[in-house]
Amino acid sequence: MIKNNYVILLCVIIVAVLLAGCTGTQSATQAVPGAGTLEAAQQTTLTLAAQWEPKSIDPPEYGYTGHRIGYTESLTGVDNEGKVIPSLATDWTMSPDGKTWTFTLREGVTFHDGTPFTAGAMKTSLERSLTKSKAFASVPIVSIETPDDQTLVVKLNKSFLILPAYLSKGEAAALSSSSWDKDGTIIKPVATGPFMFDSWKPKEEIVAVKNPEYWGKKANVDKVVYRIIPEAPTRGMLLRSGETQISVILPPDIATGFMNQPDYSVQQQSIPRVRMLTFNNNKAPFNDARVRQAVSYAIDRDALIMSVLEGIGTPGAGLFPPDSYWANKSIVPYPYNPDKARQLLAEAGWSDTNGDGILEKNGNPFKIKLLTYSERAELPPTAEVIQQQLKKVGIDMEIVTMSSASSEAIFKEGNHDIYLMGRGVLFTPDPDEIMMSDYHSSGTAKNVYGAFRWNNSRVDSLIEQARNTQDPATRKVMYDEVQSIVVEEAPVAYLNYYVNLDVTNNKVKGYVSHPSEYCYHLENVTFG
Amino acid sequence: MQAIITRRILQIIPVLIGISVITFILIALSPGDPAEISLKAILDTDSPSPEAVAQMRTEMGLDEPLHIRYFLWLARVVQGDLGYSVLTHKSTVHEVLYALPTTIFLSVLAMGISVIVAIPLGIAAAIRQNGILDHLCRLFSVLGNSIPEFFMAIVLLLIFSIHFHIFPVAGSNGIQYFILPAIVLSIGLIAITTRLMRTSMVEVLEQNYIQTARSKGLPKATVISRHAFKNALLPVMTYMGTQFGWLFGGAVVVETIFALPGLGRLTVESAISRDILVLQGCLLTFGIIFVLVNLAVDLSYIYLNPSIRYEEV
Repeated sequence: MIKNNYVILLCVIIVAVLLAGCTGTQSATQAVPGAGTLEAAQQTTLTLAAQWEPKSIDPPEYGYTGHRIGYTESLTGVDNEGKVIPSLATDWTMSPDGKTWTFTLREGVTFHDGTPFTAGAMKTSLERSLTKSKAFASVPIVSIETPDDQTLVVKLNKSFLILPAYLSKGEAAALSSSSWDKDGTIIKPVATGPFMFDSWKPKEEIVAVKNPEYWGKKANVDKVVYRIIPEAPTRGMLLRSGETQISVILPPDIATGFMNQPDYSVQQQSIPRVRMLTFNNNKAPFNDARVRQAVSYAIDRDALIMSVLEGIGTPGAGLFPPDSYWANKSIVPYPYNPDKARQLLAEAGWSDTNGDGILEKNGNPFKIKLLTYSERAELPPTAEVIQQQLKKVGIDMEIVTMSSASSEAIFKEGNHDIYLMGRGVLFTPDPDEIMMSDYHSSGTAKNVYGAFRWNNSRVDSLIEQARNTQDPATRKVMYDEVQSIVVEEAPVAYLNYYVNLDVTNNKVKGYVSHPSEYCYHLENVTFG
Repeated sequence: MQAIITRRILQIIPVLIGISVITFILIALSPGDPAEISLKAILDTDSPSPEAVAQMRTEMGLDEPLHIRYFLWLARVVQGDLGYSVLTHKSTVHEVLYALPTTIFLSVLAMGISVIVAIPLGIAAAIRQNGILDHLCRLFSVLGNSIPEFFMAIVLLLIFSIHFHIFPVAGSNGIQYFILPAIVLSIGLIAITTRLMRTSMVEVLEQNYIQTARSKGLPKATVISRHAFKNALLPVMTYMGTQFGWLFGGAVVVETIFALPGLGRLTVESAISRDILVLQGCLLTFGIIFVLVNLAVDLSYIYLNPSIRYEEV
């Protein structure tokens, strides 16, 4: 009898706890942003989850946030091919000496506080950015002048071809002076974009509302919530529970769970970051171009994508991913051709004289060391697949995996044969930076990435010419030739490009992933 | 009794000094100049002039020998000056105070759930030793203690958020956002506490005074609630108290998965981004809370356990 009482008491407690949990519940489902039908009828709220956490809402400090959500804009923009395009400036010209740039500003633009966007306002905003942001440390700006309200003249102390590319950055966003207090501390970003900044909860979310006075295409949704969710599995769960409509940058194992599902779409976007091998071009055996080409022929790039990247990736052709404006589209990836590889190695004097399956030259076996790092989880397994593939043509490769910091130290000394790494190729949306640092002889002599200790006079002169040419199409012709030479001479071997996987709920239409996540263009998105 | 309390309070001083020394060494050994970091925050610029940095170094006493620096640093800490974050340019105290309520709320909730679930379960298992409930508890303890938190979190999210839509997945806009994280955080604690409560209760029930109480005709319910429960609870309470700090540690994983802006996430993020002064602030806070909770447990133990209370009288 007494014992039973205790069991009943226990049951009551457990039920009470469960009920308490459920009461919290009903309010919970209604509080989910955008999920409540009542709310949806009045206004549409689009919620997007990303892992990027701005530590400040001041654009010069964390510029990308405002551009991505769409409340800030700069003089120039970047399109989905990675090309610099007009934004708040409609046109720009460079003086023949390259030291003076004249920007024509868009007319009829107002800031979110209603004040007009003028050259004077842009100058004030840009000057604040130059002092507050380290993004412009290498930009040689001497002065900014405003001959009239629609013209902004930027004077430099030396020719700086990629100024428009730099000015596309979020750090150079146009802000009204009401954005900051008298000490220059940000109050809130008052800018020009299709959305207006509304609120910020650090580490949690940024809310922006539709700008009804926007100069361009006005937004369809009334409100955008940018949620900061560091864990990828959580971003996936949020989609499934309906708390977000867009979750960006999901790893393949999570994104594949949304593929072929009626309610979701997965967008696959190559980004300007390439996985590549860089050879030690300075010492045998890789000082011989034929040996480097042989390695490229011996690698089965499709097999790498299938076995390491769960089938998600594009085989590496040239430096830039194929959908980038700057990619030389005529380059095709090295085909998998082990016979061709063996033939090239034989021409270079490597043959298996003792029949052990490993090639020899002058009695020395073809034994090499590949160095890589563990922070990018897919690199060590990539190395293992390459090891197997090279073995088939008679190359004995040892893999050394360490932390990126210690691998770089060895790499700098040149104590390696091959380095396997991931390399971002368009930190600024212009090829000049990567070309100078990774392929021009002045860069390859000291820089440890790119074509290690390699030089080619034709490549050098093309890169230099491109620096002094303004027309993008002409420059592209030059850079195309550089890319061809690099692939032909093979101082590096491109394996594949990084891919961003964004998943959207199918109620959302019009979302397009941007290769560098420059802008989510949520003003083009409809929902509901 | 007064003397014991005083002694206990005095005992935490060396512990606090130890914590402060370790956290101080953490910055002393890390790269990055605290003077430069502070100036960047105060002047709101990314490149303070070398002269200003040199002057700041003198003001902060950074050129002094290590032991002098420790005392100068301690003096600043006691005044609430823990320096600035490299990332946000806000003061460490601001960052920690922003994050602390979330973690405290989460831990207290998890502790509450543990108490509500584990203690009745443990008692029930003890009353009916080797009954079905006892066996289920044992199974649950093994599972609960061995399943990692991140896995548990994902399983619970799938069940309660995706399938039944009971709780939201992530965020912190109300108490409903905290329930799943608190459950995940409490499961490990429940698993062990239930076992401990059971063992402790079984031991007490075998004591002579319980037999006496029973044989004089008191109903079993009265015996358990009046005589056995209090005595059996003592070791369990001590254990749960010491585990409060452990809950704080578990918050590191749980806060990241559920995207809660708490101290655990701040610790991880400041460690990853080498925001040393904030990391130091977090560790100091963890340390102090741990010490204070243990002190509170000790003091309540004195209050609850007459044999200690009267020891010195």
